[in-house]
Amino acid sequence: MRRVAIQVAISLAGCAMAHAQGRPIDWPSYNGDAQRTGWEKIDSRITKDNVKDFQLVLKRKLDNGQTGPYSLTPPVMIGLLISYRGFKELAFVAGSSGNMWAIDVDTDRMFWQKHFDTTSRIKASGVSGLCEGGVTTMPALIPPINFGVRPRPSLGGPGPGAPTASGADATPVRPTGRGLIAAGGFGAPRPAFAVSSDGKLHLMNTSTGDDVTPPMPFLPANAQGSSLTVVDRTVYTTATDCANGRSGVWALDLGGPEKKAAPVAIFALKGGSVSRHGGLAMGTDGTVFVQTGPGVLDPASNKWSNTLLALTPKKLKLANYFTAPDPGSGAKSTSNLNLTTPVVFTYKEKELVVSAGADGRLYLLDAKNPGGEDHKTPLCQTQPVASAGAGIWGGLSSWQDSDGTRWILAPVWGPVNPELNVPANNGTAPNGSIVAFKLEDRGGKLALTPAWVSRDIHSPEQPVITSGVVFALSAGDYGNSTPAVLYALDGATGKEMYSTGNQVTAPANLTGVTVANGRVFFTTTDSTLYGFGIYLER
Amino acid sequence: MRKTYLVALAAAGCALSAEWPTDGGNTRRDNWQRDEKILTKDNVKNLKILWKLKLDNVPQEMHSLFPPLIVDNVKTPNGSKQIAIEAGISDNIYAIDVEAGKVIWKKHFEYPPPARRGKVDDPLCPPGQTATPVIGPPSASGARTVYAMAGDGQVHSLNVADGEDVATPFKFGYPNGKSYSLNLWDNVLFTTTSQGCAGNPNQMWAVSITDPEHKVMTANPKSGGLWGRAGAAIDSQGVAWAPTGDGRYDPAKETYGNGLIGAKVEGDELKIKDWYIPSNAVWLQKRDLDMQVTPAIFNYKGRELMVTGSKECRVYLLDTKSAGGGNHQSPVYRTQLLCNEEADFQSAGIWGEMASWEDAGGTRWILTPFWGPVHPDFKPPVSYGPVTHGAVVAFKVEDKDGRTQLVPAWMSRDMDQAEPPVIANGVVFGYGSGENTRQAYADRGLADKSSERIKSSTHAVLYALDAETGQELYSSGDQIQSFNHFSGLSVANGRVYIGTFDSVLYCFGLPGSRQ
Repeated sequence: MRRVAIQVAISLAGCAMAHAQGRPIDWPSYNGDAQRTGWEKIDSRITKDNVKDFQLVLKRKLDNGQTGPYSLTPPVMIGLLISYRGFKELAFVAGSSGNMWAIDVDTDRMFWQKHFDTTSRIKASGVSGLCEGGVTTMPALIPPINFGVRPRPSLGGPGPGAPTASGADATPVRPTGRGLIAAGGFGAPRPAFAVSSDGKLHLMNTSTGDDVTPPMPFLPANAQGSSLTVVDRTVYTTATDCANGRSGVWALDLGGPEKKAAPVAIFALKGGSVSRHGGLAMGTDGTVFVQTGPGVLDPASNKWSNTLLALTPKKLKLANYFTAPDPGSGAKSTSNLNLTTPVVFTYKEKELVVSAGADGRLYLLDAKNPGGEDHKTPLCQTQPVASAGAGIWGGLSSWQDSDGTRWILAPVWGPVNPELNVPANNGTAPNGSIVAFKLEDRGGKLALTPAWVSRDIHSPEQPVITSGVVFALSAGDYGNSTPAVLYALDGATGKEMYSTGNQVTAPANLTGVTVANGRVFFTTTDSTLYGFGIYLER
Repeated sequence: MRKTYLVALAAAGCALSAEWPTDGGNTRRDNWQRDEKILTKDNVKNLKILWKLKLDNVPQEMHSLFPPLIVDNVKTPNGSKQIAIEAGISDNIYAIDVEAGKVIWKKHFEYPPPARRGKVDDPLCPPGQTATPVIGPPSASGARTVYAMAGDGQVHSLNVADGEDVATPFKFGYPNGKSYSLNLWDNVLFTTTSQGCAGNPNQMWAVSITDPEHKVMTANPKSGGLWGRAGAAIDSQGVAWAPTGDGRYDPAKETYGNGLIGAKVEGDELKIKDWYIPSNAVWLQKRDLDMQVTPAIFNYKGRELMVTGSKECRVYLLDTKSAGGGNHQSPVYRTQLLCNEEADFQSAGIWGEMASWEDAGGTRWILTPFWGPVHPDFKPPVSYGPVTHGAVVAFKVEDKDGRTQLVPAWMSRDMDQAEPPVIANGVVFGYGSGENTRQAYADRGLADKSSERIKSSTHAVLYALDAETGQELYSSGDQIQSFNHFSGLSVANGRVYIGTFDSVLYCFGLPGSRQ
């Protein structure tokens, strides 16, 4: 096996790799990282030149047993698992049936599947209309500790001694194993995390699907979780309790010295919902950022509507917040438009957050002090991105090009606000589009400048980016059975570079997009996992 | 080389007999014992253990004994002997009188402990002598010299008759660098290295035994390692061919991972002259299905061809004049997958060496071992399955549909980790090593530890098969007590030799007959 290590070393040492021979890449959580950027930084397999050659490389119908507006989670990926059955690139998908699957995406073979046999599944009360049961929370993985060089915190989370938004020191990085999560390392077992419909957190062996610890109480039964995120040995998610319709943020610290979980930390929202998709985004210091939607704003009674909350790591104590202006009654719908997962990134050594307010504007915030002293002052804001009745859906994405330009991407459902004055359009886009902004420094004043609007994309999901290519998934229309379409766009211009056309045969409602190792994956409402990408000869 | 042997033997007035002077039987590594006269299809069913010899060699990690080298008519102080030179991992060389099954002499290489060695309990990088030695052709007087590389990288030239040094040792390899079997062609020694053991570069090495300076020449494909079991095979033009193991393929940067390189000594340099890279090399790299099988070289209708394989479990037929054609990726023929449907890097696929022979009717045969279950889509016309642990597969080389092809002929019975076979007088000798080859586990991930693998290994089983049908003619059953790892068979003059992890050398033969 030393030959493997040597090869890994060779691969890591190679700066100018042939595109097809890049380093194994993980996609461990929704939108790729805890910051929810959607940016895969090192996938050299995909280029602007070869994306036109994308092919359907995987189409697997899963025995989910039921279909509906919500069917499967988008996959999380392990680029290289050295398993007892060989080297595998695995996609982990969970479904509304309570099943979870691990699929060898190279060979389209089932690696394992399991059913979370829960008895406490309750009939949804109908408070949200989205209480489907089954596994609704997107699973998560831990990036390998000693493999690859992902510029994200993996287990380490906050850097040693780094101040959090609350000013307290973050938990130091400990490279050795502790708590319920093993140390990892090259070739070591790596857990997968999922929440069953009884609300219990499962810590599973990625090679077998077996629980490696007894399932742990985490969420209320039948809660509708968003996506799991694992940082610094702590599992986070947002969820809505279907029993009472209340939303909140949950955290479970598995890193305690006695190999048992700490008590579940909950930040309960008394008013205001959260995005169904990514749910939360995390700063590199472990701060948890959550955007709330319409509702009641009364900080004194802990009611937080239309607010970006900054919570402390692990304990989820309120550290700071930014409240966007009240959009007025017209925006207080329950459509979930303009209720997005924020995105966190570093720009000129400063960590920033972009979130959408209920008024449809993007707000740029200092992660260390969002909203300033009065909690109402952003670094900058945009015009409303969408036209009246339209809005931003799901979450925002961000990437940086080779020139150092920082981009923000917003998926818009419906037409773009004409007053946004976007300089580059790619045709009319009445049904939806991706809108790109550049972050510009104008003499010390930061601004989000509209750059381009994509072609018409019906109900786009949160886009992902790699190698300067933006992948945008049109979810189609579940009501009219309009199938999904995946588009590849030039990240600099928004110009269409590839489309899956009519190869996808079902809508892709309430999902996301995953990119790893030269392929783009998503799921559709007929319980099918699709993969498009560069053909790999076997 | 072979002609040189024969001429020299004839000149020395010796009776011609079978020899096995190097790993794989000859420089081309075809594992074909052409001169066997005693063992036949009819009598191999009577094979017995003629003797077994417990040697005082100490195993290192999973390595112990390497395939013995056999030479005959060696003039010793006690008369002319047929001698087996047995190399042990702990820097031991034993000369064994094969008639008596007794050690004539033993040499232990002493040297200061090298500064580095592989990690303890890591099967990949054992310390000590890892290269099977090679015996040169007879001198004018009939004397034979065995060239053996000690664990410190020094090559010792020993008189086969008495173990005495016949030349000053010279530096060739890398201390504890895990060199593979030595090959000797036109007075040049070749070896290969892999896995970066003790910091060793992974490359092909050559040194002239007649060069007073013993300049070490190397060719580095910049890959994960040239770990073909028998090192390099050498074609008629002196090109040494070796698989390169894992790695990237980028010819612009002279990087030839997951392929086969051919290198030749020109002047005092070893230069890569040609290479073959499978068109799916990226896939092989991704799944660690590397090319790591020492090729077997042979003649076929006026062409010099070779076969090699991979853990992916395909056999590649290549032309030594242009391996892979103009783009280096077009073999003469590539088989379907024989095994390894799971695409597993361990316990599956083709490992070690290939073999080739030609029957009396002129049919050219190719033999490959493989580990693990047969691929469900591979259905040879004759099979002695079910095959779940490994087998030997035979192909005929045929010209069909305007191209030279490998046509499946038979698949043997199940063998527990089938190892490279040897052909002698129409009989295929194969064996299952009984080794636990597992490197990764469901609960622990990658945990390749010698101690655990040794504990869960069983024992080797020797088989004799009809080379034309694959039918089992003999099995040693449970007579062999231990397994072996990265070893091999030797066959000469009615005897079949196999060494095991417990440092026992077994000699199978026909009882009661003067061998």
